[in-house]
Amino acid sequence: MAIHTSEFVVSHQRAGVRRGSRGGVRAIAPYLYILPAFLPLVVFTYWPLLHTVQLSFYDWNMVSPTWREDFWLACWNTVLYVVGMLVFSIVLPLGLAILLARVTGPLQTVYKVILFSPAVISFAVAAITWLWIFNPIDGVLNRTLLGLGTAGPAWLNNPRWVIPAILIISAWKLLGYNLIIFTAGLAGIPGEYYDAAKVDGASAFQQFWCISWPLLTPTTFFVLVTTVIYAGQQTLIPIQILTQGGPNKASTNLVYLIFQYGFQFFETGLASALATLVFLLFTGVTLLQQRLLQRFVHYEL
Amino acid sequence: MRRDPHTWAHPVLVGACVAMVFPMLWMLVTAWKSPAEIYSSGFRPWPANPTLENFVRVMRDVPMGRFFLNSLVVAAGITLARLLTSILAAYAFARFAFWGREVLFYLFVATMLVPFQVIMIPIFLTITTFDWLNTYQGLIVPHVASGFGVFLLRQHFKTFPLDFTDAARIDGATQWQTLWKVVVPSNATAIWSLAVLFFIDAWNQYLWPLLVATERPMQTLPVGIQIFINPEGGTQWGPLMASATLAIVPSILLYVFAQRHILESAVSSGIRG
Repeated sequence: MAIHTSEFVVSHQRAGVRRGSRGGVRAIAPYLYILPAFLPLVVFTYWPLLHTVQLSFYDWNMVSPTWREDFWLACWNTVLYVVGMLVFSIVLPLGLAILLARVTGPLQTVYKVILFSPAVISFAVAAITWLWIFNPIDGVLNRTLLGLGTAGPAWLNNPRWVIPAILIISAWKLLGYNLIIFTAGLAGIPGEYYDAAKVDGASAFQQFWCISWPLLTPTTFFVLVTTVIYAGQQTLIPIQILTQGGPNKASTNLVYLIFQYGFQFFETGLASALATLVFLLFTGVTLLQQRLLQRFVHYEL
Repeated sequence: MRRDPHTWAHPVLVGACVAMVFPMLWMLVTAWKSPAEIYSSGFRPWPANPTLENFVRVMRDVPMGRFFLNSLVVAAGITLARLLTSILAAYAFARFAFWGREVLFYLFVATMLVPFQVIMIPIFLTITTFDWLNTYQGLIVPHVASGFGVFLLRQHFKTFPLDFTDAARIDGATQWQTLWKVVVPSNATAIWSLAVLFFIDAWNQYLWPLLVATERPMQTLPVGIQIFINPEGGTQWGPLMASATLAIVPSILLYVFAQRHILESAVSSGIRG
């Protein structure tokens, strides 16, 4: 069956329009198809984005005395969330993906389906179940630790353990997603490369380090950015449900500050300035990834 | 002789599966336990005397039916609206030539770069101006279009063989008829996958309903069930876990029936939770 490219039809239509027999309706038709999607995106994405930047320059006069302190703490914590999340969400899913690649047949699908399952449930509901697991006295985690002879920390109520605890929840939620991305990446590497390496007597580690890892670079970059954005932005949900930034602001981060200053302290200007900063920061990360991808990536041998 | 890697791949993977499922399983188990058993110091991985008590209390203490209805209306509304707007725009981008097509398409795709957390304050102000707080339109309308949906469907519509649409056009069908009678039915799988993705995403939404639905009768499930949490201590774990279990049943069911669609479309950039 012949598959034309759509460019064919495009030139076709362009000619039609130029001939202009029923040009009027024809010319505006595409815009009518686009309008129902375009209008909401303008009103609820582009206009709010401009409005956020605009609001950033207003209402700075009622800045609360703790603002500066809150801001730097939130910046530092955002770094902790992102770095911690990278450790959890690159190493674990990649390791599991490599193991999964060795499994064949229907079992592979079974593993994949189970490992991915936390990704389909609501993050808010997931946070609730973890609140119960992390409960210092009646929670299953500390009960088990007690049974093993050690007393666990108060997790979400302990300034030292609260970020690791939220990271565990977030990593649990994101693991399945990163895993199937890595699995797809590994599946895209031709088997002959490994066959050739085996003939040359390469060990499993050498095969990973010299074939899988370099050829996975585009996938790794993608997972990296997804994870950074997830750690920076989605953590707002567990923070709001589990700690409200506490104990004593220990678990706050930049996105949580937007929420807090915007909707609890009603400092719209300050919150918008934060939002603008967060937007520039994370868009910067995404664009940087695109750049690095073009420069360093081995797409093909 | 080198050890077969299969021997340790399975134990590790099984262990990982247990770790991933455990939190959900523990929620389910707690939901069936009596308060006495929940707070007793013993540790049993299954309920000694399964009881419906927590579920009964959930139905009695909060308008669970109403939360369900709200979640359903909002999720279905968002899904249908997003599908419709995405199909129309994707068709135009895939099959029409018009001035500004490339620029407009980039504007659509670029919306994927704008996180909701960044723009939620102005959206909230807009919805307040419309006087849409605590309404279905306030919950649904900000989410009726999706740059991702347009992007994904355009890919599918572009690769769809032109022979079919040309044949329809020769038979006298208009562009509109060609879209709904030829292009949409032929891309049913892609559209269905997208619908599942949209529905799960909308069903799981937390942040926006938290801001807009401040009155109990308009709250959706993830927001409404938080009432059982008491930060000062005294959280009612039984009812909380029972309501959480009820809240994830639809997502899990959808996942069981459409897991192939979900896994495939997740790879082409889908749900991240």
